[in-house]
Amino acid sequence: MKSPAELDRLQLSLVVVHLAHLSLVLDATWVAGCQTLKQASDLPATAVPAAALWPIGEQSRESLRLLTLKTPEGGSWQLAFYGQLEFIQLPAQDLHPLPALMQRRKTWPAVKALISHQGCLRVLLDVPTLQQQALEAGYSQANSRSQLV
Amino acid sequence: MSNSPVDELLALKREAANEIVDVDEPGVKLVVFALGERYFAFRGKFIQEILPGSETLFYVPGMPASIQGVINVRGDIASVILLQELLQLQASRDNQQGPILLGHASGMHTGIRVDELLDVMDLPMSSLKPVPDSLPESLKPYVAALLDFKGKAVALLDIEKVFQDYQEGLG
Repeated sequence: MKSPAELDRLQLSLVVVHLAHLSLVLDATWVAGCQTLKQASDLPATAVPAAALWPIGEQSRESLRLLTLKTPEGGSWQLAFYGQLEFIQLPAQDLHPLPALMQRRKTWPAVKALISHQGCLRVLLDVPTLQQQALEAGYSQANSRSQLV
Repeated sequence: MSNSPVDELLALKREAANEIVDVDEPGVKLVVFALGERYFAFRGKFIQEILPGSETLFYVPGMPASIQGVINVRGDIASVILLQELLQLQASRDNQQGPILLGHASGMHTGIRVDELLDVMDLPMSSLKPVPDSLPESLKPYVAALLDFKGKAVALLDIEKVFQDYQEGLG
């Protein structure tokens, strides 16, 4: 267990998902890889469309990406979305807990915390909760037990 | 030897000063604001700061419509909420521009977007009137007292009750 001083010195590795009108952040430790696809027909049948999980309305149709995400059990699942990706490292002080009221009232369980990045506050999503959400939405492929290669 | 007129005058004034009855009565500081056509107030002790409302507001997906987003106040991250739904008032036409009251009560800390800040004032407690039966039912749980402001009724809101109910999912 790290001391508070050690935690303060931590650098956070994060993946920023830039959508048309919003950017969301994932903890990079859950991200195993990313591919850019030329067209929607290239999507594997097992991919979970992010639009089915993210309550954020219409997305642009540019740059189709496929994120491979790890599961807590050591498996993986894939999330498809239209947007750009950015890998960033930020100091620990740029991580902010969700205000208590928002924690109580959130309707999207995957919303976990806030990140200060380039003068903006962005939402950090909890990847295991996203996976759970995908399973509850009927995407059983989000429960792959296959080990990552 | 008799006192000089100056001494007599001073004595008289001291006596008069001693006779002044202390009429100070308990007072209350209020932050008075408008939501649409209605006037409301919070006790000043629960309002940490009043922001102009021009602060950059960051949208957070997956929240009820009454949570506008978050603001960064000198490194302190605060949510910004609207009370219209909780109080069953008509939504404001432009609810992105009004001042933000930073409220702190019931262990909760949040910004409250209002349509207009009307005044911050000190009033004697006796200015607060009991809540009449004619008050709309939707407001009754939250209104602690009424007062007059420039000829218009102001409902003093019980911020602790407002925050408790908001946390419980109302509004």
